[in-house]
Amino acid sequence: MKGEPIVILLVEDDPAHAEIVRRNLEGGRIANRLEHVADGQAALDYLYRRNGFSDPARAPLPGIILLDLRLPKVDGLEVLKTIKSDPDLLRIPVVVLTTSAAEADMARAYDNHANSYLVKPVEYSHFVELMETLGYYWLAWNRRPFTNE
Amino acid sequence: MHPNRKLLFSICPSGYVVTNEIIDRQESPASGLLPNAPEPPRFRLLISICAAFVAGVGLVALLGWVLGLPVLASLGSGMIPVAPSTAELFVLYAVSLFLRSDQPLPRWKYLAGMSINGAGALIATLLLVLSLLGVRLKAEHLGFLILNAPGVTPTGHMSPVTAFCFLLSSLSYLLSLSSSRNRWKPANIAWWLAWCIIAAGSTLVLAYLYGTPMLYGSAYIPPAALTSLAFMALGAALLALAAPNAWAFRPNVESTARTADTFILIFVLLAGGIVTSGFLYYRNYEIRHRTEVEHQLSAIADLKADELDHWRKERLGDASLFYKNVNFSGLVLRYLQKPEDKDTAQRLRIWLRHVLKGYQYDQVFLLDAGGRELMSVPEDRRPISRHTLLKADEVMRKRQVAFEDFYRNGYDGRIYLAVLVPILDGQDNSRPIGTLVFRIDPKQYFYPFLTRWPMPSGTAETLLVRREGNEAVFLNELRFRKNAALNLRRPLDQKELPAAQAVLGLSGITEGRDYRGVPVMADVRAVPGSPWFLVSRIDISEVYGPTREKLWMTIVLVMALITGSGGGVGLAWRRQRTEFYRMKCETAETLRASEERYRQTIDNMMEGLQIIGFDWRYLYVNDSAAGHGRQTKEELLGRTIMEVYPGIENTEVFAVMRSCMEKRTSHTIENEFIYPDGTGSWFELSIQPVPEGILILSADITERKKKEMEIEEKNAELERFIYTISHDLKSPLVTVKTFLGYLREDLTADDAEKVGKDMGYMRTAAEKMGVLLDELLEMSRVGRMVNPPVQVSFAELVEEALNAVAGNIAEHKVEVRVSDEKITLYGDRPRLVEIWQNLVENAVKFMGDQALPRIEIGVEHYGPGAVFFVRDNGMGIDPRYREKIFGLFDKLDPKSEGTGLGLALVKRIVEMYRGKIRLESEGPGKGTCFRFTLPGAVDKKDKGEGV
Repeated sequence: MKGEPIVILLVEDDPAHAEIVRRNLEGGRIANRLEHVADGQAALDYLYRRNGFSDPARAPLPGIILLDLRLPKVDGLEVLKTIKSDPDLLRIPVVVLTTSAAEADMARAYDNHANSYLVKPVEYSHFVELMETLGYYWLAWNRRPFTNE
Repeated sequence: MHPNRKLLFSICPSGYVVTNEIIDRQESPASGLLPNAPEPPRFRLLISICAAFVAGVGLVALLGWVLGLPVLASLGSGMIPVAPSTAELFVLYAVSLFLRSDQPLPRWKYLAGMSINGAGALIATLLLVLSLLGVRLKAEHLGFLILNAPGVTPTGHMSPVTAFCFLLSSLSYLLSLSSSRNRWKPANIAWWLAWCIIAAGSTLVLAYLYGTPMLYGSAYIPPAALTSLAFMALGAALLALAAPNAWAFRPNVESTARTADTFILIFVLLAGGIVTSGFLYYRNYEIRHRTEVEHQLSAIADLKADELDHWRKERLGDASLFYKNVNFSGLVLRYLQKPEDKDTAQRLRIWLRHVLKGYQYDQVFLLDAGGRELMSVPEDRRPISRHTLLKADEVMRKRQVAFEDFYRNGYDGRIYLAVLVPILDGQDNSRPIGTLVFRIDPKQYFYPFLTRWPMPSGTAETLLVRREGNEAVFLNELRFRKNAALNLRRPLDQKELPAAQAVLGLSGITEGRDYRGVPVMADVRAVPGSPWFLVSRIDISEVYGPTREKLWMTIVLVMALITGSGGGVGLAWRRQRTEFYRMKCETAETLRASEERYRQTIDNMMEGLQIIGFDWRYLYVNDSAAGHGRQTKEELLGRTIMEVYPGIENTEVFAVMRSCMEKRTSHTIENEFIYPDGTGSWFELSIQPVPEGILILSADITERKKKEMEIEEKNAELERFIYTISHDLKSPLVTVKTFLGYLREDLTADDAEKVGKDMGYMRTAAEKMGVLLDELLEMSRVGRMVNPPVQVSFAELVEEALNAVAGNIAEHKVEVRVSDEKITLYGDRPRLVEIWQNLVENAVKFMGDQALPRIEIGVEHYGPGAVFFVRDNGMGIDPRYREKIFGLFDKLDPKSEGTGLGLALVKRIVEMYRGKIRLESEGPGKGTCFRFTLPGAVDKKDKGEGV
């Protein structure tokens, strides 16, 4: 796996926000490959390689998942719950990235074993800084066991 | 087991959900139950003392018989002793009384007491019958040697009165033993029997006290004095035994008994006064009577003594006619000198005959100086006794007239008296020439005179005695003994003999026993000028005869007065008791009325009230409480809560109840109760400890709870709404601001393509924000804005809705079919239109790639349950998202237009009209059908609900 870019699965319904994330990660120095799905159902399909995601080359297992909470079809929390209750998926770090700063959302996210909870900043500079830090932290510094072993 | 209940509690654990907090209140434990106080041993001491006395009497009497001292058993000589059989029974009865001192009575003591008294009753009955028949068993002496003189009342046998009293005692004892529920009935009989025994004993003792014991001298054996006393004690003990049970049925025994004590004391004092005054009255009467009798006796004695004196003087007067009578002595002398001179003899004879005739002498003799009989008148009698001759000698020597006292004539054996006159020589009167003897037969005049009594009397008589040596000799014939004259003698040391007292010089009224041994009253005195002593006596029994009658009258009067006063006191007591009970009754009535008021209040109050005992049994349930559980009172009362609601032990409510039951703490909880039919009600339960167990106050709070839940739901919705707004509004803001940053960078880099992209994102975000705000406004109107309700036909509504979205329909070339339904709705017109408008909009939006897009609008049923539908043949919806699509701002397709508010709006409007909306779709690509009801709008009668 070494040398290969880390696959990032971005689950985000707002195309604008998805664009922001993409731009930031592209600008970063860590090699990565961003896979974007727009709703919860698509995210699950991706992870379980269903409905158009059956090709492992097109849908490699992500090294990290950036998950929005409010999603069409299947809610972000549902997605989180599914991931964290699947022994094959639960080791994938799930970073919740959402506009909601509500207590209840945070609590529910952590209750479902989210690995991190980040609120999208309103300021441009903050958003850029957050994405940079996120990249360093999760893609460079963070260590995790091989998913398949 | 009721099938419904089983059903109910198969779902019970979920049914008893304790939702709210439990308020713990520590309370002092309930005061203990009133102890069932045992009967106070109020009479135990009295019973013991009486029993000891009874036993003492029996033992002393038995000791007397053992030692051969019947005096011990008779309380003084001359009285009947207690029979050995009686004494033994007394000891046994006393033992049976001692057996009763324990409370409660042990079984063996109960049986022992019963057998003793049973046997006692049998023996008493047997002896009573035998005694009345006059049969006296030797066995009654119990082996003691008792000799009875014939003709005297036999001792050592039980009196029939005693036997009867024993029988009564046994009955009283046995009746007071009863332990049945109605034991006051036999106890009352026992109580009255005890009174009878006391009355009998008292009467006997009174009779002894007044000195005229009952039945003495009668054919029946009288009861002994000690026996009478013992019966009083025995009766008192039996009274005390019967009293508690006789009073037991009365409430508040204590206070009744206390007033009873007072009344008994009053009665005892009254009875004592009556007995004392009766006694004094009788005593006084007796003394007066006796004095009167004494006066009579003295008067009679005076008269007789005077007459005797007079008689003697007369006799001496007769004698003095011849004493020193010169003519007569001359005549005697002449006769002595010439006995053949017929004339002298004749004249002498005429003298003597004259005397004989005039004074009724028995015989007149003329003796010469030698004691020879010269002449006697009448002549045919027997010769003069030797006794008289000796006396004549003495008279001649003394030359004095003398009486010869009573003597017995040796020839005829008869008793005579005589007056002897010495005949002296006429010249010098010194030489006795003969004696003249006037012989008197006392039977002629003297004895009748003595015997005569001036008033009728059965026993009175006068006797004449004289002293002979150390003996008193009775001189006259006696009333009660034949041939007593000169034959009956009594030694002078018989001091109680009135005759002896008289001879010994006593004078006046005396008491003693006469020659028969009978108690008598006597007047004794000496007859002056004679050796005689006069005794005028009368039997004591005759003296007291009239007083005995008086005694009986007094006793009857005393008993009547005691009975009367007892009755009076009893009446007073009864009255007092009646008053006491009347007051008690009134108090109870007031109490009952107030209790009734409280009971009705509690029975009929809205809150449910139930009391559950420590054994978890329903002790009390009011109507509401029974209604809360959809049970009847009868179904609940007496059964345990576990029987009524099986499985309740595992619920939280029960845990709270148990905590209250055991720790005596109060709790308040809210609990939802699920009925067998699946519906539920909410109750607020206040559980608190009461002396009987626990008390549960339940209030139906279903309505409140429903409202609370509605508010909660609304709050949740509001929260969700705010959250959504904050999230959804923030989201475009983030986009705008961030792309503003990129825009600056891209402008600096002069990347025109990127600038255009950036601005596109920003515009989209701003537009999205605008739509969002519009829809929010719209959404808030649903809850707030109220148009007046109007009638509108289904066709009109649908037309208006289709007009609103006509552009969209035309753009997508959608065919819309509306069935021609004759149904009229009633409500807020713009809101109703919005339902169809949004549904059609939604259908058009999600038509997908359908070549022949079609929307059908119609009604499936009519009436209040009318079901409206909007069906399309569009892309359909995955069944998984059926509920999600109605959520606020929830969209299934992020790329689709709109904010996801439309369906949420529809749902809200439908719910406002109490309707339900459902989505049916067989899956993606199979079309969608929304079905909904609007009962609030269809039902015209329900106008108030229109919003």
